[in-house]
Amino acid sequence: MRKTLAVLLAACALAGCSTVNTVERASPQSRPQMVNDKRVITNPDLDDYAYVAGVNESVVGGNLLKIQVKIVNSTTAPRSVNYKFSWFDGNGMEIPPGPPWMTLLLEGGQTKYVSSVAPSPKAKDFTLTLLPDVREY
Amino acid sequence: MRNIKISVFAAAAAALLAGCASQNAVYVESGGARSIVSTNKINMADWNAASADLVSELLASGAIDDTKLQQPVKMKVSRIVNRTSSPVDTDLLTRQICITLSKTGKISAVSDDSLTDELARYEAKRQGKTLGLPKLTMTGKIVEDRESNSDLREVTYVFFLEVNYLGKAIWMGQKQITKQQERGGVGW
Repeated sequence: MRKTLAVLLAACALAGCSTVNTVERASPQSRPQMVNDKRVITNPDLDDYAYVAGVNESVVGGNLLKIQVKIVNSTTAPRSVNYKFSWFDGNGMEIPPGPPWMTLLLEGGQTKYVSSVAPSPKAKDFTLTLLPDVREY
Repeated sequence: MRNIKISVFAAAAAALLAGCASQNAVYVESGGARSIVSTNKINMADWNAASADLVSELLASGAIDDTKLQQPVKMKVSRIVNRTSSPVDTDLLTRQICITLSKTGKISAVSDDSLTDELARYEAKRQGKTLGLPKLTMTGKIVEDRESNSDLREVTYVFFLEVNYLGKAIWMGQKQITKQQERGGVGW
């Protein structure tokens, strides 16, 4: 058992692991309005280090939808991921120009939240696209 | 003959391995996930990220709604001070913000164009009206901070923005973007 732990720790040290510890209220007072989501996973590796743990919504500025997505890096290594929201009106038409690609940096085991406010009161639906770091230089 | 065949085969194999690479440019999404980022300037991805984050923050704050002004509220983009080491066109930040805010129906940006202003004043005068002044102003500053060690160079750009009403800042926001690059990489 000790040997296994030592091997794991050594491997982690070699791989440059830097995981986080967190603390929070045991019984949260907030009651997020969760969104039932549908996922299309074409990259299982990406789903490991940028796992979508939940989506919640609220209305800001009186009439603008805000979406917040909880993303978890379930690996022990720091990773970066690109993400982009797209917004759609009641007829399913995309509202241009959508928010740009953004980069999210996640330490090992870290949870972060990404959010977007709808660009128009007409926005009813959204899509979040996640992409690995594709810069090759 | 055998040598020629080998040479042709080798040339074909080399071309195949090289993917018959051409020197043609390729399209990438502006400021997208494949665009070039460097530590020597504010890249398009940085402008995009700063404007998107700041406008989301402003809208989520409800500051414009809290003024109780009739919407869309007229807003004039005032001075954005550039404290970075290179000249930048701050329209890359403010125009994107104004476009997004206009689409929400909360803001109408007042034009900087003198002819547009002159025509609006003329039309107002012709109708016996006065041209309403902008109620809100947007001001800001962009600051750069550089750091380096023997292996890495790092640059942080801080985008400060505020929206003012009746001489007070009704909303203040900032976005920090930090980039690191190994020494020897492209940039300075």
